[in-house]
Amino acid sequence: MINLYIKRRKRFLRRAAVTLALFIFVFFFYSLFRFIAFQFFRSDLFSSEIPILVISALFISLLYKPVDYLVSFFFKEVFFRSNVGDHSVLAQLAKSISEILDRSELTNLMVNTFGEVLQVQSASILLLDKSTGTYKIVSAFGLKPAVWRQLKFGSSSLLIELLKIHRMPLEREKLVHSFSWQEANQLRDEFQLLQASCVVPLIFQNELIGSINLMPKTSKSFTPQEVKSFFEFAKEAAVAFRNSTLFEDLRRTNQELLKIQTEFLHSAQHTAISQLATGIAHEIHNPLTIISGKAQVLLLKRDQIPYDEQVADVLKTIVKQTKRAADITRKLLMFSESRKSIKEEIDFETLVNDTIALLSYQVSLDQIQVIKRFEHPIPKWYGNMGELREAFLNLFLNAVQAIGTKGMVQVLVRYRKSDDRIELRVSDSGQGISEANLAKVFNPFFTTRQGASGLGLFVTQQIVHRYHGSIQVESKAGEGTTFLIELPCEKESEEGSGEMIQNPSIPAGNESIP
Amino acid sequence: MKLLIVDDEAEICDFLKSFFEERNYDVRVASSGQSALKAVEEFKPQVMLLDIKMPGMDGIQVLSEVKKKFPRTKVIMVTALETRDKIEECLRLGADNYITKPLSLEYLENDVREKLESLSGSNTP
Repeated sequence: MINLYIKRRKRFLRRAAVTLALFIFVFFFYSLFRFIAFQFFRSDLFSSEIPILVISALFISLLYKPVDYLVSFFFKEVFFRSNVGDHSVLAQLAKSISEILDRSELTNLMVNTFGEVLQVQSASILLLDKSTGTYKIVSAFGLKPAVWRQLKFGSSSLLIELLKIHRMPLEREKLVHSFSWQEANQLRDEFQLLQASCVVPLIFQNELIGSINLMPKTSKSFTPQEVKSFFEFAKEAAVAFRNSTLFEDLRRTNQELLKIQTEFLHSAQHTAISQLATGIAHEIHNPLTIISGKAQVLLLKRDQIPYDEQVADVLKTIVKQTKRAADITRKLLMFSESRKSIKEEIDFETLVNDTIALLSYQVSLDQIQVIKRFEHPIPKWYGNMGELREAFLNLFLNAVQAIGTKGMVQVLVRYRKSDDRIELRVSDSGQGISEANLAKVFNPFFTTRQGASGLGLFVTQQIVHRYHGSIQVESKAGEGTTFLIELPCEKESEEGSGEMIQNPSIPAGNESIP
Repeated sequence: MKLLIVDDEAEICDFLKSFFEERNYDVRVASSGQSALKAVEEFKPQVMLLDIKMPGMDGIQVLSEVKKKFPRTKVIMVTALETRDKIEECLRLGADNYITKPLSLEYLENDVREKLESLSGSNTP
């Protein structure tokens, strides 16, 4: 605060000091000459006023500059150590940003130091967004967030162009005078948008990666010394930015890699399971057929060979349980093979409503509040209704079972424009899934519930993968779980339509077991 | 009521044979694709229960041969696997039904009876 406050007074004080110094000099020499003349020549040289005036004027004109220089140096060193202070603040800032890798932390620290410690009116940082090739403000002090978040400087920006060419700090006051009226106006506008009078380029390896934009608090422009130290600082800041960008890229790549690795592991696991299931189905279904067949033969012979009711119960259990065992391998097979299925337009609202309605007969939804939200418009999406219903049913059932008796299930369907995906979110207020179990929920046969097959989420994941979508789970113990399905919107809607056998003579299974 | 049962698993053939014999069917059993074709030639069954996965000649090959030579023979495919491709192939080759293991005997008997009835219904062309 003090630094800039003094700036105006500084000029006045300096002038006063220079005048005083000159007066003292002139008076001193005048006295000296008079003294010498009087002492050695016994005459008063300056009896007339004209020579005094001439000599004084000579002295003043000769001595003004050096005295002014001396005084201002003296002032700077002794009274106004402000610029030197700026130096140390900037040096300290440069040192601390070199250790920061998080970009937003970096930019925030910079603008806040400029704003709060160096007391500028406004400070902002413009950085290159490589994906779009435009420069955007990433952090600002003294600018309205609603305003600066909108700002973008593309290739049409004169300011950016000048920064690219000159690679030097640009100052509004100096710059606008050296341009034509039209260009000067454009520049003035751009400086105005940034609320800056000085724009310092951030250059790394010959590339303009951004700029630091500053506006002093009281005067119109910064001193050359200040601009110079800003520029020095910007060189170090550019390195820090590049480091943070590289770090960010590395982190993103790492995340993507981890995601791919997880998906790959899952898909490898699924391939192995489907191969195993195919093999097992053959080898197990035959013995199951024999066990179940012989039990059925006995059941049907009851009138010939009389036996107890207890025996009949045992036989029925044998038949029922063999069917159950066969159903598990069948379910595994059904979803592991890639087969053609009818694709139709899916209305997610109908899908969700129908499935929940269907379930309300089976599951008591009295104490469970179901909140459905559909953020229209949801674009047309093509898939197999049966598969989609199965996928959603499994998630919904899972949510209901996680809650137990009382709680809330939230279903959200919306379209994400940024990457052209449909989001289907199912959240419950249940007990949540422990971290150790979270990684296993999509594994086949993994279950924490008695009597469950542990295939529901596995099958859901298989279906989602078939549509090249992804499924994620988030959970907090005691707070609940959220499953998120993301389905990419396909452009080819005709693919695979009408390719399913629908022969009414094929039974869905052997339902009529005695 | 002539019924041919084809399965490489002897136990399966056994209980199916006794089950259908008790219901007054004339039953023959074959345990491989080759012997099945031979049995079809000699025995001329009206209905045939045919397993798909067998060593050597598999059920799909047998089906194709039988339907070529004896198109009136009703063939019910019986298999442990129900992949969509297999079902499609069997139906294309003229299979009359496709049933998965383990079997429900009651369902199977109804189906065999149905096939026989459809045969006798159109017996006199």
